[in-house]
Amino acid sequence: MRHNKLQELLGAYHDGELRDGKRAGVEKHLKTCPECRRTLEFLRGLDNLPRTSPSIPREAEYWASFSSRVRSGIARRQAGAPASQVMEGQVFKDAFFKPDKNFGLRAAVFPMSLAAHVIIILLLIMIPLMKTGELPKVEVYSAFLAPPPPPPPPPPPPAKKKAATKTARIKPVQAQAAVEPGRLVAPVEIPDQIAEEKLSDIGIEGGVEGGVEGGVVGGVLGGVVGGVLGGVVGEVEAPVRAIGEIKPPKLVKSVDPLYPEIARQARVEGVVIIEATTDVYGRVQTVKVLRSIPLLDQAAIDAVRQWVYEPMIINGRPRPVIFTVTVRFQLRSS
Amino acid sequence: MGAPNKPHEHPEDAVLVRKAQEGDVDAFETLVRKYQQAVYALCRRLTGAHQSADDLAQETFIKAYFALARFDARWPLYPWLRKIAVNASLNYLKKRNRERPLVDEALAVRGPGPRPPQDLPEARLEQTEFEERFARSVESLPEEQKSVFVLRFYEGLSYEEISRTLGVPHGTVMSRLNRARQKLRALLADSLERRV
Repeated sequence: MRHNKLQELLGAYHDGELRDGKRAGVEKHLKTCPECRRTLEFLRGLDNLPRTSPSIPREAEYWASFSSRVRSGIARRQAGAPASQVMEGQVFKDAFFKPDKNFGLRAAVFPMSLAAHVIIILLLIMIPLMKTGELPKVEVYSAFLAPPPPPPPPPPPPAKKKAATKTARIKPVQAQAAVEPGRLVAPVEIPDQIAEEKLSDIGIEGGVEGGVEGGVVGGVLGGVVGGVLGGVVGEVEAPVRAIGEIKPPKLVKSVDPLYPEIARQARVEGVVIIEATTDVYGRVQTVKVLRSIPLLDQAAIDAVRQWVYEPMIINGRPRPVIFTVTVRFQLRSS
Repeated sequence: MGAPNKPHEHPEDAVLVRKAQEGDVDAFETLVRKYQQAVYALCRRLTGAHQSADDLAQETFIKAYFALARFDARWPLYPWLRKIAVNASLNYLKKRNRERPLVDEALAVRGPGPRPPQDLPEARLEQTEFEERFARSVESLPEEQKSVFVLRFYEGLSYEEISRTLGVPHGTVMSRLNRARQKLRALLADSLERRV
């Protein structure tokens, strides 16, 4: 048997609590193991120590009064005032009752605090999620960039004579609303008034030929390019690009772009380059962004659309022009 | 291997128990006087202080009186009292451990105990000192080891009886007793070597 195991059995061996088989094993081991023999010696010595009675203050009196105190204790308890039970109750109360109360309170508060925590955490998560909604809006703006330039409304070719249309057309230039002019010219009214004038006015230019031909051809084709052209010979005049010799037209009327609030707050600055096409009257007809700054594009487009240029006259005829406009957005550094 | 203070059962106990069961308080008081020292000593050894031992011994007898109706007079009385006393003491110790400060107080107040008279011969003096130290070492044992050791050493019970009194398995009694003895051996190493 192993030494460690035997050490545990030594006590029982010494106390005579081992069965024969184990006892024989221990005895065999004891013969060879001095350490276990010392342990056994110790156990024997321990058992031989005298069992001294504990010392008691004023012992004789104590024992004399002991049984009568037991008796009075019994009497007290029989009388219905179980002294020790009361005492026990108090000890018990100290040990358990208060914690019990606290526990009940905690049990009530715990779910509430849990709920409060959950709500706070949800708010913390959801508020930022709702706030980020602003940035995508900017994208929506830029997405609208494409739709605004609608195909220029085909100007109704009501005028039988170019002269009529011409005068009618000139007025909208002053009105300068980019999209409206075609519509403003109400075909119903104008022919009445202008019918007389046309003779005096443009008889020279239009010539006889135009009167005949243009009435048909120009009415249809010119819808896009302008009543004027149609009025002439019906040639379709493509816009001229302002490159090299051809200088960009002079700006007659400019509208300052509005600095978008979101760009201002984001401190976005820069240059938006726009390709603008003017019609024969110098009004900006179509715009195309060449160099884009997403947050600023729309502002630039809105502004440029309201600009008016001097009509470009080439070979004695006003021509649409394509040229680039640079709109600079810069924050005033304070 | 019985301990010296183990009370021997007397046939008159049975008579007194029967009388007490019928409500004779005097008969019960006789029994109290007979066993008071033994019960007190047991409580004292388990709890280590006079005051608590006194309370517990009183409590033991009072409990015994009210439980007497359930006691079978054919059996010896003392083992039954002992079981009540052990349970009361262990309960008390558990409670005391919950209220920590009292432990230190009890130990501090007791101190080294009363000094023996100076005129004793040196050998006697040494003996007294050793007994003092031994008693304190036993007290310092963990409660579960202490109860097993006290029941074995002072009450002289067999492992089987200890196991029944404390309600723990036989093997546990053996291992606890072993641990208690090992601790005592370590605590008392120097003086025991001389004595043994």
